[in-house]
Amino acid sequence: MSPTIPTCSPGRLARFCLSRRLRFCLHRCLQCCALAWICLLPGAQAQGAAAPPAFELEQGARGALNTLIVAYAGNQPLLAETMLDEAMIGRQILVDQMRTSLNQQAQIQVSLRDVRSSIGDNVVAVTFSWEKRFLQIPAMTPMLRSGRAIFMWQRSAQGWRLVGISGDSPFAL
Amino acid sequence: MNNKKKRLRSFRCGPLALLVFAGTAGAQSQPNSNEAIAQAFAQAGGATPQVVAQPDGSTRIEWHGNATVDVYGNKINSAGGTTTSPLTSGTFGRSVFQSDLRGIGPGGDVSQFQLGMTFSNDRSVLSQTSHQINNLQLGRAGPNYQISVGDVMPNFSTLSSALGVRGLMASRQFGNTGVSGYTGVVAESWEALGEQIYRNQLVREVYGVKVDHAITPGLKVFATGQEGSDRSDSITAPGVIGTLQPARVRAGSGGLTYQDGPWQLSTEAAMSGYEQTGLPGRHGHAFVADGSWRGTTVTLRSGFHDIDTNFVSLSTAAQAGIKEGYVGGDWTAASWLSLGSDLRRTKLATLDFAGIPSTITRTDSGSARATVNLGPNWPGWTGNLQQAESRIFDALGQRARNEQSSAGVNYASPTWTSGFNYGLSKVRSAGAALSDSDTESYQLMLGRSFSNANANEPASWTLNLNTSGGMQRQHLLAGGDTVTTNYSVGISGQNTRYGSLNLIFTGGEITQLTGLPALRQRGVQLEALHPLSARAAVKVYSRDIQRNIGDPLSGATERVTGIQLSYTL
Repeated sequence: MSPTIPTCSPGRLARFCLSRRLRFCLHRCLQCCALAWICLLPGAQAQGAAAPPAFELEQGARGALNTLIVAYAGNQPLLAETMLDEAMIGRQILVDQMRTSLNQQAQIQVSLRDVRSSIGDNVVAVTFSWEKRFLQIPAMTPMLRSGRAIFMWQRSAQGWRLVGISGDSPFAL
Repeated sequence: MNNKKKRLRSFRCGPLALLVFAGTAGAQSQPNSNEAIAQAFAQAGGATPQVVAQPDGSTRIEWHGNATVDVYGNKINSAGGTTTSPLTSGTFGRSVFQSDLRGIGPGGDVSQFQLGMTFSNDRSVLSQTSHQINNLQLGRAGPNYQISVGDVMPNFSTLSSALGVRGLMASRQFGNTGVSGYTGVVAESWEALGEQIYRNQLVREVYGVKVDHAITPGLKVFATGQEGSDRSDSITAPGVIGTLQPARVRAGSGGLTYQDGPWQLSTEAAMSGYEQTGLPGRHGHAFVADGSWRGTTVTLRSGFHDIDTNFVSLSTAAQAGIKEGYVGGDWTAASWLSLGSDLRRTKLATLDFAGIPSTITRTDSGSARATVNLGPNWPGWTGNLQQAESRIFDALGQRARNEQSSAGVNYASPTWTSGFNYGLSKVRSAGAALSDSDTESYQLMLGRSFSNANANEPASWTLNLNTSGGMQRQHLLAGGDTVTTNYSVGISGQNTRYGSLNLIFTGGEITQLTGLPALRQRGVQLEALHPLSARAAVKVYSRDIQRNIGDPLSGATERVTGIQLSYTL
């Protein structure tokens, strides 16, 4: 059996030119060229370009995440609240989630897995899967909840503060 | 000093450096530029790389990194299976590698290569695969530009783009004007993107641009534009295929930031468009403003956020449906007294979607706190008081109230630490009256430290003894009390030559309303670390935790024993 040799017909070429994949490739190439062009243009003013080591930022953000989880699971909501940025959008919603769940759940354990980080200038987005085990009050029934969340941490003069949550909140009921 | 030099890695000599940082190291030495960059690291709060000028005029810096390898065995006995323990029995391995390689060229340019990876066959560490890339970034930054590839984190502003992207990000400064842009994809992980594991979420292609202009040194205006569109056929997990419809997001925003002396202000307005397959498109708007004034003894802050329920952007921080305002402040009233307070009003609206009308929940909340430093007559003693309260009115007109009060006193000296804290929590909810309760809690801790430190020499050994105990009584208004008690005793010692040892005993119980026996807990943890060299160490650890002993539903026993080798580059 001889192999099929693709032929280049006008119709096939037109379909390829209109295909979504080609448009995506062209679009992405255009974006990359634009970004490279921005960097290659002559700059005018020197500015401190060095960022803090990513190593340290990632460890700091993960440490803050662990501290927040431990404070919550240890039934210390007031301590956990100190790690939420005052300007965080929906801060009070999160605080009330914590207080309500702590009132109805005992022996809370939150385990994290598949932890990954995206690191910016003093900002780290930590992505993780979580599992929350607890005893449901009043019958002390063992329960398991799971989800996936992104916590965005920002380093400030007061230390690491949580500025945003996306996905499933481990602090909810 | 010689040993330290031996540990340094030259960017000109390493093959990886040749690959990644070609052209960054030149023959001419410019110590002033290098010092400037190092100062910039320090000002940004990071650890300053050690820059060493060489006789031939080149520059060398440190290569930060570490690697750990764990081998451990689990013996798990769980009455409820995975419901009561995340661990499984067996022998597992886990290794974590982190590297941060940076080079500063004679021209002041900084090149970097960061990589973090985890390898494990334990599904409680990595749930889907035996290895994962924790973060990967390769980049270069100069006096007026920055470009990064890999895991990048565009953080344009609160309402525009603030998310983790796998792609390319670049920024450039032209006089008083800065231009930043990014392009890439938002995916669960590198492994999901490479189709090594199933994708449970749609892969979203994103890009955005930001232009900012400094009108004065303290006043800066900016505008952003971004777009994201989901790949329609990107979900590969069999049970999830077809459950999510692809969507397209477009958002634009404009705002300003002002910082001058004690004043700080940021404000932004944004509009968005959202289209999802099979649903009508929707448009949303948002506005945020946050400001603060920081004086010598007083700090004041205030803000207002209004995010439409239809608003969608590429920011993790922008939560749709929130309208809130807050005022707060901290005041150092005297050398021994600090006071603080916050007041907040929040309205949360849900999206009017698929015939389900929007619902609105309102919350009024406030908090007050005081810290007392008892001063030189009572050195080491501090006290604190805290009160927080929120009142919630839900869409059905039902009310709920949360109150938290706490008071504590602590003492700390070089040899003794102690503390006592009392807390009272009241929760009322018309919608869940069976859970209404008053909870009192008491916590006491005591610690003692020993060492051979004296006025002339630092300690070569230390020994710490810590004990703590606590009790919490939850009184359910519907009837019945549950009492939770816990205690811990810890011994830790450290010797500069032999390493460190930690031993902790824990225990406690929870009484049950149903009259069944109390759920008892018991645990012991041991950890011993011994340095093999200046850069390598070995750690042996063991943990035996028993929860809810003997309970047929919630009982679990976890025994973990392992050894860890660590090496710092």
